[in-house]
Amino acid sequence: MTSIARLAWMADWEESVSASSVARRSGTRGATETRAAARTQATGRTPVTARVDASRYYGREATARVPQPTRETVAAPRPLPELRVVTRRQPRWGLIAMALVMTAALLAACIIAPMLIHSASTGVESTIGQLESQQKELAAANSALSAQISALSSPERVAEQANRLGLGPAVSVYYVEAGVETAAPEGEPSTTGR
Amino acid sequence: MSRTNKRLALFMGLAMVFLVVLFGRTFYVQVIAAPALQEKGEGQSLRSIALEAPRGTIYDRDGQALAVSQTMASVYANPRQVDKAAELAQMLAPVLEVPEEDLVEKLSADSGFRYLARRVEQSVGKQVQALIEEHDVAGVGVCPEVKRVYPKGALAPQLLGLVGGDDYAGLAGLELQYEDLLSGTPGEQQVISDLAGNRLSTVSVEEAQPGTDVALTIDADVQYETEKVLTDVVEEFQAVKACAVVLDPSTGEIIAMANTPVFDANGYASSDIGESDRRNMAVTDQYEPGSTFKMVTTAAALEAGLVTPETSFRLGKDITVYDVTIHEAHEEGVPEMRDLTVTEILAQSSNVGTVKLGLEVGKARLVEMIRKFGFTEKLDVDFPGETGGQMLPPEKWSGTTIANVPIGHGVAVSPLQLAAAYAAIANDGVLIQPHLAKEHAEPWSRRVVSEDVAAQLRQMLTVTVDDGTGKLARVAGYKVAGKTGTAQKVKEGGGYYQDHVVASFVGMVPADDPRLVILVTVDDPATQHLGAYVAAPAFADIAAFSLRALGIPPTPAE
Repeated sequence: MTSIARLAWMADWEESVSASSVARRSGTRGATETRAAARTQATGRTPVTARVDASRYYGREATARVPQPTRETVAAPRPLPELRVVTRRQPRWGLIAMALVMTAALLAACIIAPMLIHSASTGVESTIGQLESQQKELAAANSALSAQISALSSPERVAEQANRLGLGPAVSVYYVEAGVETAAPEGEPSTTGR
Repeated sequence: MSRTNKRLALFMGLAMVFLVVLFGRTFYVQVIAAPALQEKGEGQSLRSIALEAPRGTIYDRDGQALAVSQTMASVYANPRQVDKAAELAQMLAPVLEVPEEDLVEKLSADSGFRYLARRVEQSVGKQVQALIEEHDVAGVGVCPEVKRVYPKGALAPQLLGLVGGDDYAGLAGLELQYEDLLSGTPGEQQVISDLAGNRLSTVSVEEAQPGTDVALTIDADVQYETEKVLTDVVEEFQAVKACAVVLDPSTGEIIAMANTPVFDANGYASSDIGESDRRNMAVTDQYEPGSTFKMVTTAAALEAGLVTPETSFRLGKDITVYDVTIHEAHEEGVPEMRDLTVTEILAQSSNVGTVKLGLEVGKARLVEMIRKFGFTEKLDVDFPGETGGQMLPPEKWSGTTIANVPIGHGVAVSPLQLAAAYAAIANDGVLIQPHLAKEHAEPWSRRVVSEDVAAQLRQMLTVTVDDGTGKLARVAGYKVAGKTGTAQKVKEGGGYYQDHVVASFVGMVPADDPRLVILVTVDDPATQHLGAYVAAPAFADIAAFSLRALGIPPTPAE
């Protein structure tokens, strides 16, 4: 038989399979389950669940047993728990968010804040140190400039510069006597600013 | 127990052991070893920074800085860290201007610290720092150090003194006198720093208290001119040295106090300067005043009412007291007998006349007047090392002492004491304590002679300048009163030198209302001995400059 023919034959065979009477009887399994289990236990065979019309193959009607899953026997079935309808709880997102925020804040307070404060204070100290050294430098420059000013205005230097410019002490001094009658009175507008 | 549970139990057990060990260690660190560890930690991170107290500035009466503190650079080395001393010395020598061999010696020393150069200019320090960084030199560093600078240079070195020593404190002069005021109080700062030395936090700060500035009564310009005049006098008369004091008699303020030789105050400690040259002889030295002391004898006679300026005495060329004969200083042209008034005795500086006056006054009154003028005690002037006068105790006076003391022998005074005595006459008979600092505690004062006697003396001293021995002390436009003096110097073993004298002149100007008292003493002039020729012209030069510099108007013409 060619494979195509065989496949057609197999399909026909599958279609010809129909439930056996036993299987039909066990349609309502709930009611007969106990009995079927008891029979199985007594005969040691599984009940026939399907009957195959195999007359075309065997030439006569034959039956075959369809394997059934083994079921444990329960001596005394436990009472089922009382069931009730439970709705699924919705997550409290606000609470979670608050908890996260609080945790972050706590972390910040405990770890990050001291670090930041320390860092800031170190920065401030560094600035103070820089300002102090700057102040010292400026004070040093100030004292140097003061000394320089004082040196430049020293009488010795002034005398030298005066000599360089041809200036010197007067050889003779003559004081002009201003008579009382010729002296302008104090605060006289005509003489103010002269 | 299942295998899983066994593993869990083992893990838990190990964790517990670990926790117990951890807690045990924590307890040990936090409780048992805490103090020691804290101390150790602080020792590593806590450091003290000394805060220097800036030394106060010394100003003159017009606010010109005479002594200031300046931050300089000091270069140091740790010879143990220096690798190539010779190479380093060769590099640093031209910058530091120090002989290369000296640097090699310092850099090779078996020591952990050596200064290579101290208190050099900041620019030099920066050059050295640049070399250190450029050549990555180990063991050499630059640090700041304060230096006392006297910006006027050669001005009042004996007066200003010196700062030095480990703590850079005042060692001489006004720097020593006002050390407590000028130095201030150093502070301290405790900081925590990291390993790199960066400051992390400040633990405590004790601020430094800066030194107080001191304003002097000295006028820098008058001081300079006085020193210049003295230098010229010493040079002209080949004298050993000279000193001068310019006083304001109404306040006791010392406007100038000059000594020769004049040297750069920044080189006070230099080995080129002799020990005696560093002394402010106006305060620390004493000498026999000679004829300038005759004013005291005359004052005693006038104050006692024994004489008036017009009282006449008949005098010979000499006078003998016990075994001592006193001659006139200038006997040429002096007649055998002559009549001189008290004014003329003072004006002509007659030894014979003054001894006669002294004999009239007597020991008790003379001693009393000497004490009143303050010649037997220190004036307590604000300058270290002041000397008091010296006079033989009255009970030890011999018969001839009364012949010596009236003419200024047998007593020793400091130039400042003599100037202060004349200042009392200028100040209507009230002696005011001379002082150098403006903020000095209230100066003491006391009456020495009556106002009338002071006026009489001023008039008599005016005659001395106009018609007597002090003609060369005249100042154009001003009436001057004063007295010359030429005192023989005392020998070490007793007696007097014939050829070694102290020439002096002390006077006041304007005589009618004295604003200045000026004393000039010239020690051992070689070419001319008389104070009238040596010191009086110097007085005139100093007075002329000072009067103009201080704006003192001339004496109105009569």
